[in-house]
Amino acid sequence: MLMVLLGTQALAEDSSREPAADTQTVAQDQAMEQVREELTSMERRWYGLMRIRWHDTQRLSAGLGAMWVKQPRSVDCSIGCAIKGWHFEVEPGLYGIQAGVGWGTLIGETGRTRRLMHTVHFGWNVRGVVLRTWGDSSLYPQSQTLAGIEASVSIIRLNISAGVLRSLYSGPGEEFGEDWIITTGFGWGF
Amino acid sequence: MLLTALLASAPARALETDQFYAWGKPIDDSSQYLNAWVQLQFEFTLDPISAGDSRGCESVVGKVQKRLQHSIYQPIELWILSSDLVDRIPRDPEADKDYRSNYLLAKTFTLDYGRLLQPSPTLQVNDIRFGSDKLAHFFSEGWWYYKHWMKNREELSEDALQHELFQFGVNLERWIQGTKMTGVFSPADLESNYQGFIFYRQLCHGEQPLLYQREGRWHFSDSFDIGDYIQPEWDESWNPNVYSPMRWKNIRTTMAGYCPALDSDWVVRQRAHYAQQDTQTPTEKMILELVARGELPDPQDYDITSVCGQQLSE
Repeated sequence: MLMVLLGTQALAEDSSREPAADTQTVAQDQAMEQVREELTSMERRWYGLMRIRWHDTQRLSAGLGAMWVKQPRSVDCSIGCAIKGWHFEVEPGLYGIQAGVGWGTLIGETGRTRRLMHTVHFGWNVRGVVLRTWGDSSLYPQSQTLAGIEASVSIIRLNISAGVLRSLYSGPGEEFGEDWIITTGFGWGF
Repeated sequence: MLLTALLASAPARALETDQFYAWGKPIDDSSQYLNAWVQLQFEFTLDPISAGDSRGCESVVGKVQKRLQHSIYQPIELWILSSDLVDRIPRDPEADKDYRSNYLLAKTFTLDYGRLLQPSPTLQVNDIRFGSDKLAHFFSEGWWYYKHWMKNREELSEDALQHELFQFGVNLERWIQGTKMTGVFSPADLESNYQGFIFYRQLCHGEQPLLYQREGRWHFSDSFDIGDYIQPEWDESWNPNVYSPMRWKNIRTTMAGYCPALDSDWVVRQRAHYAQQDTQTPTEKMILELVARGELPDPQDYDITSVCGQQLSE
């Protein structure tokens, strides 16, 4: 009789453990599906980019652009996120305007704007650029068009850029100008 | 450019954090979501590997590590920042604004660039609180420790290797990741580095590796639980940082603001819970050795009990 009672007790204890283990497994399975949904449910978005910098050819310039990205729907960049993708930026300055298209990646925040990456913690990009100079630019001739590649790195909001551009000018006095120039810039943004 | 090169070559940096700010505020346990995230990284890596693929365990680890560790910010930390599932403090943009205005490093000195980096939120697993940056250290520096172990394990004894791993972590804390960047040397970061190493080592080594093959395919064990690696030492309100003198002056003032809370029911209960679980870890032992040799200020001098004791006597 005692053995039967003990056996029944053991069976009851086993049974009471089983539902707890099942609950745990169900909860973990549910968590898996919720996290999977967060990580895999993607959408395409655009984020605004901005940069203010001192450029050795344009002098002071301010740029605005946009990056197209694919990221999980759940991602909210207001406090911080990572994005990467194709982007463009147009940067008018005192002595010229530059437009660029390229690829980049950054970690930054949009704050309440939700779409403008006004704070970039880290990032880099490489762009094909076209630069049209005017006014008192340091080039000869002062007004000309150049095209090339520019790379930049952003670290704790500061941005450093360097480019190699070829002059597209062909006209009077072209022999006095440089065929290739190296440009540099230092500023804030991306 | 030199700074860029240094940052690119060094193991990734993680953010600063503040568990005092979260004192008394409820946080739900996130074990299941964190475990799920890790399980899914392995699933996304292992599923495309076809049955019968001849690659060995270490090769699989090398593949999955690319999902777990990146060069600067870590994937898990970025996911936590915007996940709706992982409870944390702060959680939303408004709360984040308050956090940034009031966390320990918020009021150091005007041109302190360490403040430009975003502080990481506090999570909870098994009633232990820690910054999400500890998970970054776990997967990132843990990987670098593991690589060092793999390279040297045939030549060095276990003790000598452990010392080297620890010294590697100390150098990181002193230079790129800690004191020179933000004026903070974090024993809690060193603890999570070491636990990350344990995790990576357990993937292919030991009696029951977490990675195993069944019917020619690689699998990641269901027995993995992030909670096995998380200790009270990950909580910086329990395991204090060492701060540079310039920053300590104002951090101490901010920390002293929490002295009244030290006697609250919540804090007393939490610290009793930690004391029950606390053991001397290999990292703690080595930190004591550094202190004994005069190579590191005693972290206890920066503990809140010391700050509040000093405040009482002032």
